[in-house]
Amino acid sequence: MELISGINLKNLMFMLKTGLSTTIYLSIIAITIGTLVGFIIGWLRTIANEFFDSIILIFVDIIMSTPLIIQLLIAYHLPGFLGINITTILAGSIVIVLYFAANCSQVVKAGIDSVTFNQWRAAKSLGFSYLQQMRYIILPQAWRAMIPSYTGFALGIIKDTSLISVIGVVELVRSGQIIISRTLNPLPIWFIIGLIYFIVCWPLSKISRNLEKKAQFGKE
Amino acid sequence: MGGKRILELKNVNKYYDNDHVLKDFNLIVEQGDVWAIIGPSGSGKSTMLYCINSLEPIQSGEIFFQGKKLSEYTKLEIHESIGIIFQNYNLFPHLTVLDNLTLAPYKVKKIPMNQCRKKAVELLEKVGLTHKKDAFPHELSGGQAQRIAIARSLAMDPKIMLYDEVTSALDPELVQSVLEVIRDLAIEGMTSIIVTHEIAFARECTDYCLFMNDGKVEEIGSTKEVLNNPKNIRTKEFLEKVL
Amino acid sequence: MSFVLEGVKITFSLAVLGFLIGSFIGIFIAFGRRSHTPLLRYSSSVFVEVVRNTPFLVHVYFFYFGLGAIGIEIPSYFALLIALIVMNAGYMSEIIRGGIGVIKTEQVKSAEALGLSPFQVKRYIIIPQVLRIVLPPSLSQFAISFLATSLGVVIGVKELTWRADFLQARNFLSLESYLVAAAFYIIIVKITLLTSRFIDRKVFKYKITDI
Repeated sequence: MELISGINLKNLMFMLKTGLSTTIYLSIIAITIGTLVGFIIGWLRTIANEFFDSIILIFVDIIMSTPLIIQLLIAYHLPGFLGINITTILAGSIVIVLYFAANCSQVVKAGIDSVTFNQWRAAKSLGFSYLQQMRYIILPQAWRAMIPSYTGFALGIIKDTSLISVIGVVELVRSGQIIISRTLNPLPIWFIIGLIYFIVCWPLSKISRNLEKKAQFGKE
Repeated sequence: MGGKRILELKNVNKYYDNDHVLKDFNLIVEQGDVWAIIGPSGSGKSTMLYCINSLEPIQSGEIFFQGKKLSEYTKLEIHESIGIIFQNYNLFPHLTVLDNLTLAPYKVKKIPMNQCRKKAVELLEKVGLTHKKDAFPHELSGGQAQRIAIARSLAMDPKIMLYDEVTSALDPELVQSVLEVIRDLAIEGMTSIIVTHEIAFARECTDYCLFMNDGKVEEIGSTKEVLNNPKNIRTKEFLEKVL
Repeated sequence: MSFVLEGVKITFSLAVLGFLIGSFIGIFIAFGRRSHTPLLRYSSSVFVEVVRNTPFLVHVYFFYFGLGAIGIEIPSYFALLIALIVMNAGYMSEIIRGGIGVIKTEQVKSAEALGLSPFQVKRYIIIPQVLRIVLPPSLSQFAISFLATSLGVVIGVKELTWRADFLQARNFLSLESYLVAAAFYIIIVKITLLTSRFIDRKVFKYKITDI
């Protein structure tokens, strides 16, 4: 840290800014696209028949039960073997998005399922169409069940983007490693990297806990 | 009798998978009639109600509403005209009482919101719960919740009200308040079909009575006759057990 | 593929040790967070928050490279193990914390009024109910921890993922080795999930809801 001022600090800030921005960029992509895809899959699972549901479940299960790092390693080598030419960051991003989407789909399905059948019935007998039922009755209630897990996963994915450093993408962790290779002083760098993650994640986790509390209040 | 025929079930048969839950069910309801449906648990009373407002399909027979076959109406028309109250009220927990009452008329019937609100307030007065306008369902007692459920269905201006054992889940001291609302509606001329265990209430407030057993109509007639001079053995047995 | 199986063994040892030791420590931290002593409360809260808001990968690098730099040379296996213990302690303490205080004093009072000794009260009333709440998330945390061992590959711990990667690079076995490794992970995670469901069903049947 206070090793030598000038070079160290400037490089530090620059690299970390690059790294951090990539991390944030990846996280945002994962959360926005992943939530959308995850929501659609989760919702589909609630209306699909048993057969399709099982098929979707198999895919979701595999993605969630395999270490993210292996999925990233596969994503790294697979395009080469298939002869497709895509950037590592794209391949990695796809994996991360799918990973987040799989988790989301579980949360969404559990959330929708948690709304009792009686609510559906009551809504239906008042004349609401399926879409109206979902929009005004079911989803508002499902949302409250989804929030705790969802925010937990969203927070997790921000941290999980760190794994993409293993296949060479320069995000926060990787940028730290690059600096270490120059300064040969790992300890302070890892401290700083940890600190940066903490600064980003901790407020979000506070917010998510508040949301959780608010979601509990006002419902039975 | 002699009023306009508003509802008719003709030889209705319904199966749940292989369970024959409604057997050649027949019923004629005229406008303004107040019917009590009694019978042991599992006799198909609730199912019959759900078939009337097409929440459940029937396999054979016909249901006529206002002279037309049920299948000739759109689902929307059916739900607008036939209101149903469930045993566990099923209020929407994430909405206030007022929103519970206005949501359906606003979104389904596309009535402008201020009209919905006006009507909601009227209905709240009618069931005696104006002071609960902005409360949430979990803040209500069972009896209050059930009355709100009735108000919610009334907000759609139905022509028939179906009550599915609406007091069975309530503590005894709360039952009266709900029954009063049902009775008042009946007196005002609302065609009502009330599945109930409250025999005393049936005797007091209903015109006709149907005893159902095992999916079949065992006995049917004016309430006085069925409850005081039951002709069917099973009716007698049931009444003895219950009273 | 005994080479791969060796990796499975190592992965298992890491996961189990990390989980058990971490949970043990987690119990103390859970109580620490509720303690009246500000120092205990503050430090355990900080510990938990730091662990939960930083990536596991950073923990791994920190313990291996970071400590190495100040002269504490730790073999990669133990660095990973320490990271796992720390992670489990952090997460398990929250899970355990969710189980404390769930039993209302009234229940304890009525159990005592029935004549049960404090020990019996703990054994028959408190612990079963706490377990019911704590067990499913704990098993889920074990699964997470098991998957987390895969990060050993970055510091050279010869666990499952490392071996798959090694085979992949060496033999150009295309992606087979990764897929085989993935299969192992999936099977173990699945078993954990099914165990959780099984226990839930069996235990749940015993206890009716807590009202």
